Amino acid sequence: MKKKIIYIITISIVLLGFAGYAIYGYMYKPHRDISSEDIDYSLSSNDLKNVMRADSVSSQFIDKVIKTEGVITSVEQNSVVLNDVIQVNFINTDVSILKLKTTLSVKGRCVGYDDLLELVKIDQATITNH
Amino acid sequence: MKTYKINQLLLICMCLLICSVSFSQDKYIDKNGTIVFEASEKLFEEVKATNKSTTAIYNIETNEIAALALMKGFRFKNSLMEEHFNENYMESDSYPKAIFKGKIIDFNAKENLNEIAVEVNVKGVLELHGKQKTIEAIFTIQKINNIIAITGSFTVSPSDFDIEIPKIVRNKIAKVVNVSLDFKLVQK
Repeated sequence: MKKKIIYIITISIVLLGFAGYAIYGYMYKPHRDISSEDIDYSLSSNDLKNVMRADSVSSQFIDKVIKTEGVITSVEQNSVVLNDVIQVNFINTDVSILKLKTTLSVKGRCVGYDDLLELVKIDQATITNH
Repeated sequence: MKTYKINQLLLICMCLLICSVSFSQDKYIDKNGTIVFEASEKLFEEVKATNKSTTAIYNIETNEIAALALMKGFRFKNSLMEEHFNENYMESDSYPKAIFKGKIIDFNAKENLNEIAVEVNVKGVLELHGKQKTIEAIFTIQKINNIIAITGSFTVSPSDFDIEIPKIVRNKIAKVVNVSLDFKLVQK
């Protein structure tokens, strides 16, 4: 009888532990790691701009892992612009080593279309052609 | 012959107009402006997100300010909170951006914009989640070398934009959301 009670208590503690672990894992799951995810779409910078400009199709690309490439037209503190149409923000790349007018291929998350500057924004990017 | 000349004149006029618009020296732009919003309640987990790729444009000639933040660009510490923010509250798939369009009131950028930080009144309309709201705020503006820095904050409430907070989390999210911004604009 006593053995049975101890048995039940042990089992329930173990189960509670598992449940707690699962809930904790769900509540505090880690952020996406874009650099290790598979590429959903691969397209040129101008094509990407054109699809993002159309509201009807843009939602298909938002939050997806995109690979794109283009010529660097501007280098700023923590971002570069490709072909004047894609703004890329990196996870932790020193952009000062990137040179204007060179071709860059990047993989990152498509954040959306900025209609003030007519730019597609990509963040959490990594360079794929060096 | 006459119509041909008029057409040509029109064309030249249009070209000049386009040139003057695209090469205007009055616009200052920031592509990587920061917006932080916080709706934390004491004793509960912080509800705070940062968008580090906000676009801001300031026209020193007309004093107009425009800013655009993409919803998916807001990053939370807690990834589940980020997911809920996008899916349940902001409905980012349907309303992917927040846009502010406004004006600095009674300010002469040519005379008063310099190294000394000044407080200015800004009035404009903020549109997000498909709803618009007039915002009046006091921002600080200064110009150091060729960079115009605009900082400030204002408050909004989720109900202003028809954002419903479910009962279970209602006491964990503040009724008044504090939004602060930090733009460093350069001439374009």
